[in-house]
Amino acid sequence: MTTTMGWLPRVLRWGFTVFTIFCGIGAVAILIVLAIDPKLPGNANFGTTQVEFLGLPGTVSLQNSTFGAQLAHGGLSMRVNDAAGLFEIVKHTGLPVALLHVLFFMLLFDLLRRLFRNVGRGESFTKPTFRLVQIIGFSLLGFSLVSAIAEGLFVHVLLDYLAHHTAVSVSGMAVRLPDAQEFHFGGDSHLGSSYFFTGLLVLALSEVFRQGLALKNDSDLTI
Amino acid sequence: MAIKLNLDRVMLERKVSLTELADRVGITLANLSILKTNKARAIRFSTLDALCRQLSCQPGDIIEFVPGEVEEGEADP
Repeated sequence: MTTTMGWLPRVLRWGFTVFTIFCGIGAVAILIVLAIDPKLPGNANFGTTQVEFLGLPGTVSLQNSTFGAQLAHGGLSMRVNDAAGLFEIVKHTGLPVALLHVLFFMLLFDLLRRLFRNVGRGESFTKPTFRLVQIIGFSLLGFSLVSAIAEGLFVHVLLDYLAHHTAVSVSGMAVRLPDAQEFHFGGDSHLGSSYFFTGLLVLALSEVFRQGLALKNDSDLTI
Repeated sequence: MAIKLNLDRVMLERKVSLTELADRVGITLANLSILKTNKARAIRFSTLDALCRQLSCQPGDIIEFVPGEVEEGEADP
């Protein structure tokens, strides 16, 4: 049976190839940063920069290893005494989490590239295509679990550090940041994230492919 | 499957080769080979009609029911 090859699978295939390459470059860049292990100099001074956060105007500054952020014209201010420590936490905990994401997306884009290559060839209802859809579904489910643990760990470490090294004030009144233990570990569970539900949806779709494959086999063996 | 095709026997009796029959019936050699080796799941009436016409036989000469041969996962009706 011959099918007309549409332009969409071809475009998506090339698009996913480009995304896979970008993710590969990103992964290498993160690995290089982890290998070089740069340190924030004690006298680091980046001056004051205007920012906008949640629609509110504000400033961030880094002076003499003190990181400061002000929002709503000083209505909310935050000062991290040891910015180098924060930098180390972001580097040693945040970057591995980012690397995990980048590697997962590289794998996902490569699987999608292979899937659209098969679809472009008119091999939609074949065993390799069914397997690819199934692998994509299971990897999304697996990643929702792994990323929930990794991101939960990062947030825990970050909050623990901020609780001990940060001074926060609202309208000039000092506010104590809660300890990391007071937050539920993985409370904002990513199991309920879009990855999890997308994974379930893709697995349901893989069943459609399995049934399509059975119908195609029947059709192929009807002479 | 309990349904068996005796195409090879009928072809031998009629002294017709696989290539020649495929040409005469108008199906590919690969598909005729599937029929001959009993790998087919189903056969169209149009194919059966062409086969019977070319081999000058009845459907019953080609198709045979062998009791007791049930495939795995296949239930008796």
